[in-house]
Amino acid sequence: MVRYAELRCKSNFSFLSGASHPEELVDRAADLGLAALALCDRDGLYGVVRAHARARRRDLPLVVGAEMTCEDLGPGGGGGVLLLAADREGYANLCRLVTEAHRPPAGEPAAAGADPDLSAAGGWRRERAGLPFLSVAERARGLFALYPGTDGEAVARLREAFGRRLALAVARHHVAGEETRIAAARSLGRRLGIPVAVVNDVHTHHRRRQPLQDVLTCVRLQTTVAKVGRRLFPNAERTLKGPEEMARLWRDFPEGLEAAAAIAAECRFRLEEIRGEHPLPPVIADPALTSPAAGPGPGGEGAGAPASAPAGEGTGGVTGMALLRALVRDGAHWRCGGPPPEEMERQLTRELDLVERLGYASYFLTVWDVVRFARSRGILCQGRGSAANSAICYVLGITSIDPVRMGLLFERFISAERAEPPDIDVDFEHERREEVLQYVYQKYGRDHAGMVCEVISYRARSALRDVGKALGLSLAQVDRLAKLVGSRDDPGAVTPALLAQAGLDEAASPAVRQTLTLARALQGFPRHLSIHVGGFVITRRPLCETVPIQPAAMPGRTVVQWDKDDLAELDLLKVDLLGLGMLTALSRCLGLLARHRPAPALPTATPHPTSLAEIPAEDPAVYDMICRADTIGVFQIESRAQMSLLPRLRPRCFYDLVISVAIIRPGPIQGGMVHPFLRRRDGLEEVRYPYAPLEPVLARTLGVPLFQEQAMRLAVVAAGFTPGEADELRRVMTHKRSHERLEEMRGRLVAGMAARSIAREDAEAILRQLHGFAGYGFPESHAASFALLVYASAWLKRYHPAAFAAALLDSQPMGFYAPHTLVEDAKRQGVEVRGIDVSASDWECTLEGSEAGRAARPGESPALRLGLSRVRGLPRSVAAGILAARRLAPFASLEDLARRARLSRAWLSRLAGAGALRSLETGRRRALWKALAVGPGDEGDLFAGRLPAEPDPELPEAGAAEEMAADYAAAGLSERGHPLSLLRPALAGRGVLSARELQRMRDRAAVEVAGLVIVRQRPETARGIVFVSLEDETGIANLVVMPDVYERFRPLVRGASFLRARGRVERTGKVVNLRVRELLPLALAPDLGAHSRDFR
Amino acid sequence: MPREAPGGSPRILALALPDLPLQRILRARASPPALAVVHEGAVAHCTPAARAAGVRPGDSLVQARAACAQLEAVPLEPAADRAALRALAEAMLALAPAVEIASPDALLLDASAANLAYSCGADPEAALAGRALALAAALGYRGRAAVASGRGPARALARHGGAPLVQVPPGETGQALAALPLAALDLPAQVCERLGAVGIADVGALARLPPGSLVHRFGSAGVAAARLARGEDPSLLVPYQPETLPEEAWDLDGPVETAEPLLFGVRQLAERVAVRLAGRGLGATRLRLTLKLDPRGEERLVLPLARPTAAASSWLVPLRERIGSLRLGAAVTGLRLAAMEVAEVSPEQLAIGDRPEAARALEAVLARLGARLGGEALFAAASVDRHRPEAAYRATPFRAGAGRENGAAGDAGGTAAGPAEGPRPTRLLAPPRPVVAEGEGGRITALRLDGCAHPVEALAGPERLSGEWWSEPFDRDYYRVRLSDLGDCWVYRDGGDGRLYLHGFFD
Repeated sequence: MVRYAELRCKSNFSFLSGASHPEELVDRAADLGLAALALCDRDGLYGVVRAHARARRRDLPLVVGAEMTCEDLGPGGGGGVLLLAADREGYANLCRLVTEAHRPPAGEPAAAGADPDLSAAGGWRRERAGLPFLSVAERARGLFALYPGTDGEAVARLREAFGRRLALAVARHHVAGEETRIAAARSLGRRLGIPVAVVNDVHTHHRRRQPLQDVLTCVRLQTTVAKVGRRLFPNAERTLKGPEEMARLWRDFPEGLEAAAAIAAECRFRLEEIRGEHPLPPVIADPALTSPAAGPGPGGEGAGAPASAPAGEGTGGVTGMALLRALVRDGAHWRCGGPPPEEMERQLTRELDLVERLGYASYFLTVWDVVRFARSRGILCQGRGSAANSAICYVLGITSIDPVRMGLLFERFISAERAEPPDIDVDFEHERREEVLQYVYQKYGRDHAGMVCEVISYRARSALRDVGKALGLSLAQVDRLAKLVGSRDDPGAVTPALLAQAGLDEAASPAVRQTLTLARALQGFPRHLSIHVGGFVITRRPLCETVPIQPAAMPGRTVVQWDKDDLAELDLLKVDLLGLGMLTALSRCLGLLARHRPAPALPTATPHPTSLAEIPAEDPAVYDMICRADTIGVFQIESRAQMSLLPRLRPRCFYDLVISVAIIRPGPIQGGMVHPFLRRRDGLEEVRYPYAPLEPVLARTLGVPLFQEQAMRLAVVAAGFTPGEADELRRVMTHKRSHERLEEMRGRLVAGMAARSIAREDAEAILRQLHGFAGYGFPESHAASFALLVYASAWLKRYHPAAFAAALLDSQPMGFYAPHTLVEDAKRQGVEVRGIDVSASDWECTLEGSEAGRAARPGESPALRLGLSRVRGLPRSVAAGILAARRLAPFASLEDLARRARLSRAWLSRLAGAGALRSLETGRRRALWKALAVGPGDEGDLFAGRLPAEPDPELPEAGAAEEMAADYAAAGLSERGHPLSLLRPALAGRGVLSARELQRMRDRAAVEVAGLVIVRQRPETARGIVFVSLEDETGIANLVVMPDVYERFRPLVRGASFLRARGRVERTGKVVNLRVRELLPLALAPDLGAHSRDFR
Repeated sequence: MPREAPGGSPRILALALPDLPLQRILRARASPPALAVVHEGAVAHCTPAARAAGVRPGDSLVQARAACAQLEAVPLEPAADRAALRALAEAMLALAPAVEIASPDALLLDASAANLAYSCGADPEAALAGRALALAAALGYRGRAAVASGRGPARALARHGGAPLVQVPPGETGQALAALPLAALDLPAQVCERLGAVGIADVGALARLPPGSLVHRFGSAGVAAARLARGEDPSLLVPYQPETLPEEAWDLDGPVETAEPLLFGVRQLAERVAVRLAGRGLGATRLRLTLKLDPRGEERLVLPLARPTAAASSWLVPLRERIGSLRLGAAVTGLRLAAMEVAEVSPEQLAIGDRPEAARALEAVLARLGARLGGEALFAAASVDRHRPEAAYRATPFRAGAGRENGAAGDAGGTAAGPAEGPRPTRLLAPPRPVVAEGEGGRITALRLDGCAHPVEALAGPERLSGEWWSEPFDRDYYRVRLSDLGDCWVYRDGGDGRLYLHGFFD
């Protein structure tokens, strides 16, 4: 029996070099009976975790390695060498070397943000990341080097560095000249006493992948198959071959095969060794940290949050656990306003014991420290996700939901049985999250902390584009082809009829069919790396000894070479530090209220909270507003789907909000849970349980599972899963990589339910519900955390609409709607919106009383003054100059403004164009005319800020439509009115209804409406139905466009800014939609360049 | 040059060709369909059929397709439109002493001398305009004409005047322009946009602005705009001069029947043409010599040259060759030499070891061979960057002095980047010929070709070549086989049919 191990093998994580997934290579290697496989991607360990996971299942020894380039090794420099990890130390050195290879040369910025090629962090557009040989030599311990060259001097240097852990590699692919190289290597090996190992320089797991390999080469070289010529491999021999085939090929050199197997045996390091290697750095190394935290931020949560360790324990010698216990004790007092109730005490003790047993204290402390930092800077933050199941997180101030009161399952967060790390996600104000990220880098150092990467893979469209171009299709053809498929569609499923529609003929051009076939294979291949939304890995041992780190495209950021699934596979801890726009808006809104708070002595009709905690709870008026679906701008429940649900759901308490956040998710929608829940809530359907013991699990949600925890409990109670297995089911369900595993579990579910005599149809319903959660569902704790923000934002909108709208406008981009829609909504709430004015506006939006530029008097509703930041293209520094000059004295005239704020003609004209000189000059046109004549902005110029003496010209007055169009052009919105109001007389004459009138129409009435398109959506869960929202001056009309109508009016639905729609009214309770029969362009509408929220 | 009219601005006839890109495309079509000329994703021009369906210029293509599903979209081709204008301008040169191309869609004709050329009618300027419109119509273009003082006003009136023919007497230009939209004046985009933003919509409003106010705002562009709005434009036409290749003629003193005087004349012509070409940095690659025969008739000779050159001496070798071999039926009375085809000539740096005299000698031989055998009889083999052996070479025109490019196989950029190519035979058989292996004990002893066995002396390989799955896939194992009587051969086993083929010889 011949033994052979493949030591030189590239996967598609060599980015456009290899043409097989790591898993495919492992599977094939196991099928062929290889003794081991070494995955050696170029300059990276991107694919090793996937390969490792598969190798563990297939029981194949996987050697971890990488192909590196030494700048000064071999003739002419740039010699490649394969480095294989022999032991843990070798692996650490390999990670360090890869990290170093990606480090930008000294003198260049730490991250290559300006270089778009580096955003392809895999480096596929970049030249090889080279290393000086000296670096490699310094880190040779524990590494095995395999040298594929024949340069005697290079071999001598390698031997000096690696000693006996060095071999020469030879390959035979039946190409010209290789026999000479093989002979040279063997003779060199004999002369120097170095073993010579056979490798096959594998690029594909199977010969049939050669076409894809060729296409990838073309994509990499940016050429076509017709032009690439001999830069392609001359044959398909660089593929995985079994021991017998290799033995036949190397009949003259069996020792080479033995050498390969022996080297593989010597490389004993397995990735398993770093599993769970997660001790975090001790948090309280710095005694200063234990001093009382800075004062409360606008969130107010920091106001008493545990910030100090007990005296005598904060400094030196305190273990993480002792500190955590002390902090939890303090925190419990703070949360409960005294000694905690017994139930809470019990829960905390249970959690602390488990944390101690599993050794997660430093993890909690790390997150607590980050949150503490944010609070000290006044950055609003709140934990989300399953962390809200933990009472520890609650009392440490990481989350705001009391899990004891909510009856949340701690096991969802950590369980002894699962022995997997907890996952704490924290949201921060999105505009200030960078401060938090930089704090983490600074505190732990870049060698100990890195952001998690996200592997961007080819999707149908990108695959079609690249393959089509490589096969020589014209750009126009590639474009048409790509447009035929959605991003997630299967290119293989494109029919000839569809192709003909795009003007492509499959029969006439084999390239079209080849493109579709190869694009299908390319789908899912990694394309480049990006940064995960907020995942951070922090380790006590230098992180760069666990996984290579490289600069990200964004300046100041570094990422590890593994994504979140890879980290989860190896049980490595990560903290998610996410950005949330709503937190920014809430922080701004509370800040505005604090600035405009009337004197404390004066009683006010409405409360004036300055922190989230001060917002009065459970206010019926807020729920009334939510029931009316008057929720534009409100967190999470402002989408079209949510708004059409709210009048049916009629939330009246906090828990109803939790449900409304969770219910409009792909999970519950795909599982068919929404309508049964609503019917049961309305009393139209009986609440029943498919299996009596499920009642305690599902009672809160009327027998319908809406939360992830319920899906897990369902599996436990109805199918006999252990909690640990149920959690695995959850992970498998949400895990895109493991559909086979899901099928396996499905079988067990069916068997489990059959054993409990659950009726067949009920069992099927349960399966469907569970399968629905494979889409995406919220844990209850997460929905509850979000529901807090829903309530807070709804309350602010209800009682302080002006401040709320101002905060939303200044926190863009965020939320669902464009600024002009937010402004229109504010006006409908009765807010007076005032235009941008250099004499009254600040940089951001402000609140004013009846007098421009002055605060509102008690009892007076404030008006919203738009900020200078809304003037497109106006730099903040210019605005700062204006504000500074205005603080000294109000501007007397346009000339005065120009002179004192040193405004150039360009900035002055821009301000005039945006109508911001309204207080200094009557009419935008006159202001602009004058602005154009102002002398240069330089101080030294004789004519600086001067206007020439000249007679006033006769400039015609601008019409309302022109004023509005100018507003939109300059600021993206207009305070004057809605564009549709200009067209209303003409529309009314033609019988076109307004959105408000539509609400009053009877069911099935034939009507026509018109408006500005603010939303177009084609949810995956809606089977091709498109939802369009049209806004006019009275409100929003909701259109339902069925697939056949969409096909007829596709370009209009996708492209038009203004639309007229004819169809029939569909009324369900208070929800009114227009089922569209016909769409028409609204030709009279001025071109406003307004933005809508669109599907892609 | 146009004469200045008494008012200071020259009289100009402007001929505007509305929707020129569309007109140019429709000239070649029978019935105008719903068609739009599209530029940067937006409709620039569209046919009446498209308009009737609701398509408007300025619509995005998406909007336009939404309005008219059958709409044919043709991309704007500014180069083709300019060429069309140039062709029209050449034709208009028959009507006026100077014609200016006013891109993108107008021609300006010097009308100052209309009274001299068209004095027979009542209104010579109108007669000129009529002739111009008729000529355009004959060439398939519909136009609008305006005669006015000044280039700018005339062009504005032709484009925006509305009538097929607008005629403005000298001194009334300002009033005639007043009603036109601001865009008619072709002002710089920024000036036009800003004036629009303050509500100045037409030329009249611009003319009424306080004197000097435009200067403060737009500098010299403002001065020009103000003058133009008042109808003042003293600028002169920029006459169009057609570009042609040099051609020189030589009339002989009397009919000539011997080669010697002809060659003298040819040398003179060659030098003149060569000087004109050299001045433009061009060299001829093809010459045409026309011999005028006595009493009528002519003989044309076309001469391909080995490489682009403007050296008359190197033209003379093939010229002499051809003239020497001519059998003419009549005496020659005149000569005309034209450069038919030219290419840019860049000065060449000689390398150490280059022998320019040898290159010149080779050039002379090649020119001579070419002249005798025809240009196509000469070729060189160049390597092609392909793995498939029979496709790895191609015949290229032989160019003396191009030795560095023609050079050794494999230098053409392929092998340098790709894997090394093995030794290749000097001769390839097309098509490869099937052979049958004969052997004993698993060893090939002979190859049978056309029924005749050739003993095998040695065998090496294989070199495996496969690929081109996208067109005609091939998969071959190549062996170098020494046959005792045929020498070293290149034999392959085809992966498709499993058979052996003789593909070439290593001579």
